[in-house]
Amino acid sequence: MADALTITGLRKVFARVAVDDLDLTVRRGELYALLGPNGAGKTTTLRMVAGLLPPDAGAIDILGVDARADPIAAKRRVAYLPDEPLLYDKLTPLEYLDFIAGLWGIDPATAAVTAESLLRTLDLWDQRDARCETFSRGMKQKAALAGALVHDPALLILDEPLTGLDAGAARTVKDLLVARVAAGGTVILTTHILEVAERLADRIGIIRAGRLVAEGTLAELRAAQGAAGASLEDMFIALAGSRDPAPPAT
Amino acid sequence: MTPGGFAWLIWHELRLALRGTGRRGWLTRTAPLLLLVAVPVVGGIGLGVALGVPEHAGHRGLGSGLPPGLIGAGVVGGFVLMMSTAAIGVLRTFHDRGDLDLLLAAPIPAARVLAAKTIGVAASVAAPFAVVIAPFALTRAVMGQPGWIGVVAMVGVDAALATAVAVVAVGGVVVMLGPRPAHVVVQLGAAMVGGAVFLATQAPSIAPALARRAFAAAARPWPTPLDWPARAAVGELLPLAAMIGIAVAATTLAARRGARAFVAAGDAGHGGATAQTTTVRFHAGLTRAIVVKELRLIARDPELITQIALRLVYLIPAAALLVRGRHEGAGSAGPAVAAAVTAFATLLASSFAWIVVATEDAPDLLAAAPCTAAAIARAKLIAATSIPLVLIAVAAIALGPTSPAAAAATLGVGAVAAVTAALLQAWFSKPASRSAFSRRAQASFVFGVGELILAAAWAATANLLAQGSGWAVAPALLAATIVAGAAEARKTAA
Repeated sequence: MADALTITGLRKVFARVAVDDLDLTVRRGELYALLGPNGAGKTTTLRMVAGLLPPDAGAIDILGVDARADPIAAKRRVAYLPDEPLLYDKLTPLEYLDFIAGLWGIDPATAAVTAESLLRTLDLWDQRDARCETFSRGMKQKAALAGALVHDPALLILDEPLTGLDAGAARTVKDLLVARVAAGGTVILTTHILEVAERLADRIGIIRAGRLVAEGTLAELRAAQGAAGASLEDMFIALAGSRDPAPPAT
Repeated sequence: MTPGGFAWLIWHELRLALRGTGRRGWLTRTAPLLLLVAVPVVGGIGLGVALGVPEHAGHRGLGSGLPPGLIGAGVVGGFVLMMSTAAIGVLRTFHDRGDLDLLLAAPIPAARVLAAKTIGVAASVAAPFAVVIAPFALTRAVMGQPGWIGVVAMVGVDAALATAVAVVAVGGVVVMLGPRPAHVVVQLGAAMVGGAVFLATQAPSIAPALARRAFAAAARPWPTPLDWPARAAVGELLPLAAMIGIAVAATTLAARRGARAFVAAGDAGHGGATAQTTTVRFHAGLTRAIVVKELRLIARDPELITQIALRLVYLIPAAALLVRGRHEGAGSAGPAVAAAVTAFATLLASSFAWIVVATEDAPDLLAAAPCTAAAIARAKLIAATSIPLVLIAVAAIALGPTSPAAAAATLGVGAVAAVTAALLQAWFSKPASRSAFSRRAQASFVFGVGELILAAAWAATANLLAQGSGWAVAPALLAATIVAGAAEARKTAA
């Protein structure tokens, strides 16, 4: 069975090289955390996987589908949630989910049931008829997450999904992601909150200057670094060569 | 100015109002303002000198040549016009700007804040009128006709009264309906007032007999105290003092009572996002999803709707002239109506196409969807042309019984015109915010002119076709050439 995502020799150059001959594999049914300092190429990589940015070179295989040869089939299996929620302020969450379901060609009856379930899980059901413009940042993030999930993607890509969420909402989202992986889905996320990666991710990839500099489970990373008992933060700083992201509050 | 003082707060409001255009850069912000002031000052002084003292020496003011009734009607007309801008200004200043909490949290008396905001609105309402009228009137006043000061003073009185009424009325609507419906009501109301005033100015062309009767009625003397505004405008001291007193009292009362409605509405709004429960029916398929979404977004943008409606209102006099001219000549008005509807539909389709294509809020979402860009573009084109096509169909049905040829021309040419206009926008429009709608023509002068020529060519085609003239081919060819040229330019650009 094909992996959830296989990236081979991926390259993207803007004014400088953003992604440099990147090879990356994410297995089915795992939660993969892609970490790296600002400007390391994480978002560029994810945007290329989501079909939003054409690569200059390389191959992207999503669940056995060549994303460059058949982008439509690849997109059908993927949901991408950027750090800035892709929302329409003048639509209600329910109308937004109706729109997404239409874009992904989901049967209306199925979509309506899924939408209700998602909005209830994410504590947005009571606000289902309020326009998104009235929402807080966290509520918008949750509405966008519901949009990403309404078409039941096999591969869920999240760029900083916990930004702006309060503790309760962050827990809800983390539980939802864990449940999704437990049900056989695949999740790739980027985060600056290293504890999240440490606690949730099955495997962690660290990217620097567009290249993967380390990959594996937490134990594998420690072993590779020869630093038993080291925190992810220590390893991140050692590997990525940066003190970014900021250390967590103590 | 003392920071936190009354004058300082008013200056703060005026500065924000001036910067509300959203344009960046010192030059782009300041140049229009300088021109706005310099042109009327120079022109007004010149005109004042040219028409000055010698010939009219002894006349006290504006009233020297005009019936008082007409002056009164002018003052009332100015008030009505100012009401439309004041209502929008009040909504923006007291609600949209969202700075009431900040100002009221400061150690400044709330009454001072609310009064400063009210005066700020009044000043921004009066400014465009004053800039046009003051240089001319003040020059004549300086040159021996002091009565002209009354006109300038009445501009301020009108603005103050209009703002006071707007604060109370808009505040009431916000409290009763909530901020969102209030936006719709105020925007549409202001557009209707503005459109009505514009149509009233065009009345001599559209309905000459009615205009003559209205003019004669307004010219009659008004009973006291209804004649105070007119007497104040010609510089009579007692009525002028009375009007200024009324304006000051109304502004004070509005600031104290009416403005508090916005504070109360803001407090109520902090309870969290709630809305009336409605049923959302899920839709199948890409095209339906996009069309429904686009129409929902258009319907929920009252500012945009009013801007489109106003543009169409401006076409009414031309259409009326066209139809009347045809009616007074030989034959039916059918061909003229066909032309007017076609031009109307072309511009409407172009406006909607710009909105659905250029102002897409989530382009990445559409790009990530499992469908081709062409399928999305097609769906957006359908959304943009759906309303114009419905209007065309309604017009064709209405024309059918009396003028079948005009109905057929409207239906056929109108539909092609709407689709081509939308296509042009889809090909060339660049990402923009909805607030840039009124400035979209400035983005490309060539495109704006081309769009107007296209609308005129299709209108002429419909008109000639409805008359059964073979010359219809000529404007149709012109329109087709514009579309073909645009398609070629798009290919080259790509």
